[in-house]
Amino acid sequence: MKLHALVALAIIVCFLGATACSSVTGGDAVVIAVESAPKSLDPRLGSIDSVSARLHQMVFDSLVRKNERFEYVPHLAESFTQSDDAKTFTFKLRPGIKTHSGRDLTSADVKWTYESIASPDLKSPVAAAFGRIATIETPDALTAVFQCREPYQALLGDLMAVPVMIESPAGALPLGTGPFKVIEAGEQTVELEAHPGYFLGAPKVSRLRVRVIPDNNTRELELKSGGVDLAINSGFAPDTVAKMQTDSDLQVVNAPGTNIAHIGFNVNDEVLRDAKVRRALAQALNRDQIIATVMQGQARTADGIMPPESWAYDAEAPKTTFDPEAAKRLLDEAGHPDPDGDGPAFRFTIGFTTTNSGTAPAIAQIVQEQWKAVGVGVNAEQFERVTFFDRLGTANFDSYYIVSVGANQTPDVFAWAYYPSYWGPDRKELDAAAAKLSAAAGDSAADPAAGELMAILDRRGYCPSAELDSLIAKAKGLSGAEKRTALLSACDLLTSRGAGNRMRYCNPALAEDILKAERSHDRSEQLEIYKRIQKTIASERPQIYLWYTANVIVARKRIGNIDVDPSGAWYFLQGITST
Amino acid sequence: MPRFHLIVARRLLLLLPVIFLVVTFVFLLVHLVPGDPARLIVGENASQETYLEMRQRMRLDLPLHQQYLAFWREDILTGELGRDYITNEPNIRRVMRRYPSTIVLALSALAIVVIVAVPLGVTAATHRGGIVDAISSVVALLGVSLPSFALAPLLILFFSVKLRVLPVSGPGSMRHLILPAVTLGFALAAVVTRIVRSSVIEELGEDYVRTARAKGLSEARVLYRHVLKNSLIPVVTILGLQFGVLLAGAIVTEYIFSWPGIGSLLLESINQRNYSLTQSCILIISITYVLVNTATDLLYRWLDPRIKVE
Repeated sequence: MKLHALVALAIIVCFLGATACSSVTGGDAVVIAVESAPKSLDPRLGSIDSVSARLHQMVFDSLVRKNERFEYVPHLAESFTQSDDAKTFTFKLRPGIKTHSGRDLTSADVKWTYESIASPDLKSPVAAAFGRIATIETPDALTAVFQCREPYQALLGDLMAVPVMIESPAGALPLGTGPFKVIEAGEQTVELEAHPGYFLGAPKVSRLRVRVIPDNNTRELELKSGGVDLAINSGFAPDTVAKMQTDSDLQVVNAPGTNIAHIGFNVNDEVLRDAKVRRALAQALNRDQIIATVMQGQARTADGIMPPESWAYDAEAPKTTFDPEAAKRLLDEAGHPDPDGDGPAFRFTIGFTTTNSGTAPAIAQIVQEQWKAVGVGVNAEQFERVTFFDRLGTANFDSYYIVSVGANQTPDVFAWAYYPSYWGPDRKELDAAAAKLSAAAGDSAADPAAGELMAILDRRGYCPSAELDSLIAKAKGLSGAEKRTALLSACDLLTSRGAGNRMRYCNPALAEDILKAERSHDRSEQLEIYKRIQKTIASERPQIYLWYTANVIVARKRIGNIDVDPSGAWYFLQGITST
Repeated sequence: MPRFHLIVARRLLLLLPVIFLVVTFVFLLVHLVPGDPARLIVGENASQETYLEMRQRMRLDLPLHQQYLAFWREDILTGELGRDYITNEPNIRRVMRRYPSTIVLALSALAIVVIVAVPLGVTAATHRGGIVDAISSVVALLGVSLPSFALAPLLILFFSVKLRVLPVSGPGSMRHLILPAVTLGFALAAVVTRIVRSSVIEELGEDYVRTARAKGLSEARVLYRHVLKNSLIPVVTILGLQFGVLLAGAIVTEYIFSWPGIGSLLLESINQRNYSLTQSCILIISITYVLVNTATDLLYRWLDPRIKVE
């Protein structure tokens, strides 16, 4: 092989390289870095990953949106009404909304979006949830009426998660009504162009380029070199952000956020089942110190699961103050005296489970020290994310630390976090039997499935509930389709709430309140119940709320008007400027 | 050359047991990892029905042996290698969209290796003990001791952040290719330089070299026409083996440089516990590895007809 042959090979390779990577995009686009590739730009598949969800916020609009108090307000809709039984929802569209294809948005687009979710070709993961919609009627071009088979309380939230899409030929780029239009969708970049006819005003920048840069260091270097203009809640360690703040080319926006960092207790643990102990452990924590050190100020102290901005927040619920002496007294009262005063022996020792990534290990270390100061020993255990969630799901922990993302922006979080789900050892059998019964509508398979389900329910392995007891008793006296309906309602009560109740917290009165609030349409009644729930939780402390992590945006200085709201949504990109 | 075809056919046939073993091994491996991948994919706030639907899609509701059979029947034998749990797109399409980028990167790295290592190795051999030899030794030592995850940020810091002559990451243009290709090729270039050097030194002592020189051939002709061809056999071996590694092992480099290849896809799929995509990536990488090795063996025959490939 001669040298010039090698050179020729090199030239061929270079040529190949140049052609294979020829998706060069010019123009003065604002470049946004994201950590992972969006799964899909089709919103009908649900906002299953956060990057897709963010992109959907820029390209599409939903019928309703949440305002700064996290209340649902009309968005594409001019107004909406909901029937008392939560089965009929009527939306009046704003007239004159321009789609990316240039025509006006009509109720037919709304109908198409939500009806096509059920299409077998699409195989949407959210098809089951939207399957509760029986029909969508469009009496005129600006009215859409959703008729549901059963009460569908979560419809407004689901409509926000799946915004309205405009039908386009198969394989074409998705069309919406949002401030930006997709003009190219590659494996690692999505190119967006301003939609001049956007109904809330045309964006100030003409182009956005979203680039996937999974490595944190690379993303940081891209920001420094000017290859990237913006990184929004990009998973940088707090001290990396603090370091970038000193870079003369960069700016850091540290705005209040809502993601809630908290510690949860396994309330079935012999020691931790006592609310006094949990309260004492809360008082022993100096959250301000952790926020100032590990979090570098990129968080604000939390006293409840709801963010203070929310309409359902209770400002009067008792707050926790850092008071190690009071904590010691409470622990003494709870029957756990310190065996040797300030000596090395502990009152008791508990496990503290966290993930092994981000700030979790450092936080675990500080928590360990602070609890040690009141005489409580801590076995800190760190796991990889999936194993961690597995342990949480199976209650294989004494206490855990986690940041919950997004869940607390609606009061549904109370049902998610505190409602007692069914966590008996036969949970899998219950799910299987319920699935069988649900599939067997009226055929011969229904009876054995109903029998299986009844046998499981008869073991009474659930948190006491008068409603469940009466449903089960009622089912016993019924047969056929009625029995099936009653049993499925019982299963729904046991499985569809409480996915975030890893603490195994069972408080029948509180669970009843959660259902009552869910079924009420009276805002003031709901608020009263939510306040009661927050006061109960503040005194029972199945979870200790630590802080709301900040929305952290690192940007080149040429980007202006970065005004992110606490939800962390990307809507503010419509208003950013670039010089 | 009918025997040549036979050899190729036999090698391709050997792919079948390899595929079987890889598929089985990968299937078992990803299922050994603890945790509930369905929960991870749908997110902790997802409704119970979405979660159960995802378990069904991932076939996690079936016993392990049935999952394995379904995997063969619905994924492998259909050639789709499974479908994405969310977008329902056949995995093979996704993998093949990413594959060209990986090939471009691997070929570029290989080109850098050949362009740098062969002349450097030859010069080091002909000027033994000289300054070039010393430099090549130091570079070789650096190359084998500096892993790509350390080299890459250093290159980015210097060329992209300080000098601002090259982009930090991502695909886009020829300039985007340089840093990842250098990162990927550096360690291999170091090894190949040393191999070329020792191989050339060995060949230079052979009788035929003395004969060629006695015939009055120029030193350049002796070196490039005779010595180099014979010295290249071990180099081809290592390049052949390493090309497979470059294709498969560009994971770290692709990740750091946000290069849209199969390596970064593999990592993405592992992070998302996307079992079937992980399986698809590994399967395609394994097949490539076997094919490249077969091609290497055949190349030997061309370089040295004395070698029997059977």
